[in-house]
Amino acid sequence: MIIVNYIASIILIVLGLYAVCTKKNLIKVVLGLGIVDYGVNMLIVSLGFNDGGTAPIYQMSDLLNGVAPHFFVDPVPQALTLTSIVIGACVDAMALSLVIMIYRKYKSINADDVRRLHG
Amino acid sequence: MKRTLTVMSLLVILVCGIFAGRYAYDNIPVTYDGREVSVVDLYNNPTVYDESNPDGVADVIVKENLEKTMAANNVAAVVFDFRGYDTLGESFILLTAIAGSFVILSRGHKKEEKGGEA
Amino acid sequence: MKFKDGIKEQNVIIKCGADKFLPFALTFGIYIILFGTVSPGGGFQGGVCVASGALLLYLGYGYNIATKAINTEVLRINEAIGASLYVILGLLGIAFGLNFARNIFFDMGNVGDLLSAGTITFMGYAVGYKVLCGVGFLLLLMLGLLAPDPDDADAVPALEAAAPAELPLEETANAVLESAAPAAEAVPAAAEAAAAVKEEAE
Repeated sequence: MIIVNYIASIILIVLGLYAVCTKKNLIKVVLGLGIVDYGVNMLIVSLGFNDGGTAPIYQMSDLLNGVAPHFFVDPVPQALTLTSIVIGACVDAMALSLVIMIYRKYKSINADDVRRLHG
Repeated sequence: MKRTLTVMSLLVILVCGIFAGRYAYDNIPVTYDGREVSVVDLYNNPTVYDESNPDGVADVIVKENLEKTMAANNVAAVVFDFRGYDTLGESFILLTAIAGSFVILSRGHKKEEKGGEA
Repeated sequence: MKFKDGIKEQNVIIKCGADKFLPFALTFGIYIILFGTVSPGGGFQGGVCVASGALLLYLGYGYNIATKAINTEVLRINEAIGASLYVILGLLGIAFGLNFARNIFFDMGNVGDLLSAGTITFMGYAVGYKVLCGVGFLLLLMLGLLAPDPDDADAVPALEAAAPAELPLEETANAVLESAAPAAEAVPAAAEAAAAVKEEAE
């Protein structure tokens, strides 16, 4: 049933791309950029799934009693997704501060009005 | 015209993505066969049912983790020890983004005040 | 936050909610940072959980009291201190003769202790401190841009409190703009000439 994760993440990426390509309001464009990031992160984490595995953390009760550790999922994509989430948040912060600067200078955030370079 | 072209190309990407997801789901490396399995036996020794020979990086990391780092959390060991350079770069990204936001917002504030006076 | 002329009951409810939730948020976040190597979590996750305390303060009490309780200048400096602490912990490996970011004292405790995994735990603390200060500062910075309350006469956003010195770049930028002004004035004159030519053609 992991195919549901794959399809949902691809739908998120396509919806985000649609928002970036079509919308005129600049804040909606930045929101679409964020949605693409979330879809990509979910795809990366879902690719490392092993059927029947649990979280890759050793349980103290298992280690103390000598039971063999349970079957783990892949820990490497989870570790790389942590970095990717932080990068997505930072890109959103800088894009939003640029939108604030555009509003201060042009007094509107419609993408049709901010096309010309003023003197 | 432009709008229909955009929507058509995004639909093509969506269909290709669904086919790719289907292909990835069908070719997952089999790690254990879920049929005719007694759950108690699976819980007691799970490695008997493991049918794959994993030879990737993740297998090496999980096998060597406890004796090399003595950390119970495998993900924290991967983030800070096995791939510590990525976390260093990400630390720089945080610093740059927050400093950049601060500089951008304060420059605009100053210019607005100057433009109002002049 | 006050609305126009006192919907004070909503004020009381939000303030009580923020009062009850703030110690839980801080304690939970610090627990996630401290036990990064034993239970799920780590530096990044716990730092964001603690930084949500600044948001709760803003929601319950308003921007003035939030900036009086949390000094944004101190947060800005401590974020840089956290980042350099991470690099210093990495340079410990070179001081002991091995490569950069090496896990040096990894056998200082048993598996499952609090201080068990060597430089992994201390790097986690440094990153947690850095994310705490950084995200808290970013939240308060962006919230200071909202319109100030009409009742608060002495609202001072974080940007004016931490005003940087005058940079020489601004003067050169102004000089460039002034030199470009005659060129900008020529454009409307050309537009008027084109309109006059059109009328003559008609």
